Amino acid sequence: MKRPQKPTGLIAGLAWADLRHEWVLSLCLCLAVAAVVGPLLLLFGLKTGTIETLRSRLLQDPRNREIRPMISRSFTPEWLDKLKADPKIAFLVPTTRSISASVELTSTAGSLTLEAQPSAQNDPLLTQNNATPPEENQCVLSDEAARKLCAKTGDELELTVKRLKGSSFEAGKTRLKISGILDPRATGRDMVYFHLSLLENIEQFKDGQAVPELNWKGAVPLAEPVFDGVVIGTDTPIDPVLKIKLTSGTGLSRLETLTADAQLTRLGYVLKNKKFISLISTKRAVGQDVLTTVSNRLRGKNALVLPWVHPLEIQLGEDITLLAFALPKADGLTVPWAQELPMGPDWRQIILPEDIRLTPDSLLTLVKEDRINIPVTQNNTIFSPGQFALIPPQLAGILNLSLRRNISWLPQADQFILKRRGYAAFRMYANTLDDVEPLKLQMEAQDIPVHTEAERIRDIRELDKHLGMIFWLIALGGLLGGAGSLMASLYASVERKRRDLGVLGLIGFTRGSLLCFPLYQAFFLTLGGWILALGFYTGMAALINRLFSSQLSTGESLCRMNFDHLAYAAAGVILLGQLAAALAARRVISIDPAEALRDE
Amino acid sequence: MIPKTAHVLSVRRLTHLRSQAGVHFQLMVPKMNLAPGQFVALVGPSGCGKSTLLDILGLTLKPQEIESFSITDHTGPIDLTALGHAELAGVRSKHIGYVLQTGGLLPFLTVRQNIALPLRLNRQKDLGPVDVIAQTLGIKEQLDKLPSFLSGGQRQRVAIARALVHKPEIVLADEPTAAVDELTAREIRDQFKTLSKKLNTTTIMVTHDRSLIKGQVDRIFSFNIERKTRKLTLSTLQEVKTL
Repeated sequence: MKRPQKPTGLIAGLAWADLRHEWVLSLCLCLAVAAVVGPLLLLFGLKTGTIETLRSRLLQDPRNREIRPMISRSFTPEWLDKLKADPKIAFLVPTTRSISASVELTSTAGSLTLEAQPSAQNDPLLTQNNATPPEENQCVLSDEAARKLCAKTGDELELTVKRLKGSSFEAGKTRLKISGILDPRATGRDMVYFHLSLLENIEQFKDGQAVPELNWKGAVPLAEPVFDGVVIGTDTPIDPVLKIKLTSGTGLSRLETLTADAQLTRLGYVLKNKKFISLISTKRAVGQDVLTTVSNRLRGKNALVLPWVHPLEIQLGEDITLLAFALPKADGLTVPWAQELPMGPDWRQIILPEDIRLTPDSLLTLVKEDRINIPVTQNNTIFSPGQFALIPPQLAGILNLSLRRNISWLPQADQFILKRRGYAAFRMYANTLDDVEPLKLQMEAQDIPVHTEAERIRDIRELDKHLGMIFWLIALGGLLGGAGSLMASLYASVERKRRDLGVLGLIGFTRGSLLCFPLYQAFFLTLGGWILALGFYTGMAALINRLFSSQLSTGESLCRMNFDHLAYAAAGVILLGQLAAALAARRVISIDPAEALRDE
Repeated sequence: MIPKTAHVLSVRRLTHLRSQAGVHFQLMVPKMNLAPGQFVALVGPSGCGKSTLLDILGLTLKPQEIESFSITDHTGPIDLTALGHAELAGVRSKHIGYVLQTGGLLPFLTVRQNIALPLRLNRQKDLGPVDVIAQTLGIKEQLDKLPSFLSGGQRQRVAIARALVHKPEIVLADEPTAAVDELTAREIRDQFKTLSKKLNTTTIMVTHDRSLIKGQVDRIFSFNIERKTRKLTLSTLQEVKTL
C-alpha cells in the first residue's frame, strides 16, 4: 500500500475557503494583526528615517569628515604624502602658516579682508558645495564673502598681500578669477580658497621673500654651501690644546692626521706645501662661518684652512657614476677656479679623469638624492689624478646641503634656492564617517591632537543604538501581544472546527495534511494583516513626511523604510504567525476522525 | 496471508473490548464477508456495538484482536491490519465513502465543492462525475449553493453523492435518514440503493428504523447480546434472515 500524497494545494484551498466563508471574523483577525504591526512599522520607519536623515546630513556635509591638527608643526611633504596614501583619507592638502591666512580682495564693490585656506582638486568642501577647486590664478569665495564683495563666479578680483618692512607696508598684488562660490552651508565666515601654490607664495612674500612669478619683490632665499669639515695644513703638529681650541664652539669634533696617501683617498688631492695635514670633521654640516672661525683661531700659525665635504657619489648623464671631491683653491694645488666664486656658471664646473668626456650640458645628480639636477661643464685643461671627479667646494657644499634640505636650482637666475622645509598644518577629509574616529586615534598616537566631529558622530551612533533598543523592546511587547492574540484566535478556530476537521480526516485527509490547515490560515491572516499594516504605514509615512517637508531637504524623509526592511518585517510577521499557529496545529493532530461520526 | 476472495470486505474473528468505570463491553465479529454491490443493514439497540463496529470498519478505530480484515479492490485484497495512520487515510480516501446522520458537509464549501472533494483528494482532474451524480440524485440545481441553504433531505443527498462520487468499494452510512421525514427517508433509501447497485458499491447502513429496510436490503446483521457477568456484556454480530 503506497503512502498517500499530501494534498497540500487542496488543504491551502480549504483553509482559504474557510477564511473567506467566515470573512467578517477573518477581517477582524487581519485587523488585529495590522493593529499590532502597523504602528510598529511606523515606529521603525520613524526610527530609520530620523537616524538616516541625521546620518546622511552628517555624511553629506564634508565638514563632519574634516580632520584638522590643533597644533602648528612642520609637517614634511614626505610625511604628508605618506599620510595621503592612507585609504581612509579622501582628501588632504597642506596648509601654510597663519601668517599667510589673512588677505585682502578687492572687487568693484570694495575691499574685504578674508581668511585664506588652501585647496586642491577633489576638495570635498568645495565640490560638495557646488564650487570648482581653484587653479593657480583662481579663487573660490564663501557665500558670505561673495555677498559682501558683490562678486559672482567668473568675476575678477584683485588680491593684495601686505607685509611690514621697517615702518611702512609693502604690498604684492595680483588678479584672480573666481572659479566658484560655496553654498551658504559650507561656512558662514568670510573665506577664500586658493591653490596651495598661491598660498605658499603669499607666505613667502609675508616672510620678506620675493615671488618672481608674481613679480613681487623681496629677498631670495639663496642656498648656502655646507661642509663636513675643515682641512688644516700646518708646519707643526696640532697639539691637544690647539685641538680643543679648534673644536670648541665650532661644531667640529673629530681630528685625524692625513698622510699623503690618505689625503688622496679622503680629500682627492695632496697638499705638498704643508708638513702636517689634518682633517677636523663633524657629523653636522657647518657653514662658511666655521671656516672663518677656524682661520681666526689659527692666526699667526701660517696655517692653510680649506673646506672639506665627504666624498659625494654622483651620476653624470645616464651612465657615469663616480665619487666627487671638493677641490679648494690653495697653494701647491692646480685648480682652474678662483677661491671666491659668485653663484652661477662658475660653480657648475667639474674636473674628470682623462678618459671621461662629457657632452655639453650633461646633468649632474646625486646617486642618493635625485631631487637636484644641474648641468655641469667639464674642464678640459686639467684632469683628475684618479678615477674620481673634482668640483668647486661651493658646488660640493650645495650638493651636501641638498642631502639635508630641499633645494632647487633656478635655471633663469642660475641660483640655488632653499625650498620650504614643511607645512604648518593640513586640511584632511576622511573617506567616510566611520573613518574619522580611527584617523583621530592614528593622529593622536603620533602626538598630533586633532579636531574632528567624532563626538557628534558618536552621539548620533549612540542615539541610533538607544532608539534601536527602545524600538526592539516596544516591538517585542507588541509582537508578543499580537502573536498571543493570533494564537488564541487560531486555537479557538480549530476548536470550533473540530467536527469539520474530523470529517476531512474521515474522507481521507492525513493528519499531516490537516496539520497544515491552521498554518495556512495563519499565513493568510498574517499576510492580510501585513498588507493592511503596510497600507497604514505607507499612508502615515507619507503624511508625516509631508507635514515635516519644510524641515527636510530633497530626497530626505523623516519616516522611511527600504525594501529590505519591509521584506524582513514581512518575513518576521509571517514567521511569528506560524509560531502562533503551531499550538493550534498541534491541537489538530489530536482530532480523531471518529469524532465526526460521534458528533453526528 | 490474505486468501483470494470474491468478497469486497472481509472480517474474521474480530474482538474489541471497551471498558468504562469497571464495566466491560466486548464486541465480537466471528465473520463478516460482503460481496460487491450488496446493500447491507446493520441493526440493533443502542449500546449494542454498532458505532464501535462502524468505527472499526471506517478505519478510525483499531480492533484489539482480529484474524483478518481486508478490502478487495480491482488489484486484489488490501490487508488493513498492518497499515499505519497515513496508509489507512489513503484507504479511506479511495475505497470508503461515508454518509453521516446530518450529512457531515463542510459548511464553507459549496455543494459542488463538497461532492468534488473525494475526487480532488484522489487527484482526479475530471470533475464530470459531480454533475452526473448530482443529476441522478436530483440536486443539480443546488450545486452552487452552500450547505446551509439546503433542506435536510437535500443535504443527505449531497452526502450520498460525496460518498459515491469516487466509486469506492464500500460506503458506510450511519443513520442517513434519521434527520428527515419518513417519505424523504424512503426516497433517499431508494436512491441510495439504486445508485450503490449501479456503481457496484457495497453499502453498510446503520439504522434503527426497521420498517425502512424491511424487504429492501440484501443482508441484515444484528447483535446477539449476552450478559456474561455483572460487569461483562458480550455482543456478537450475527446475520439474520429477517427482522
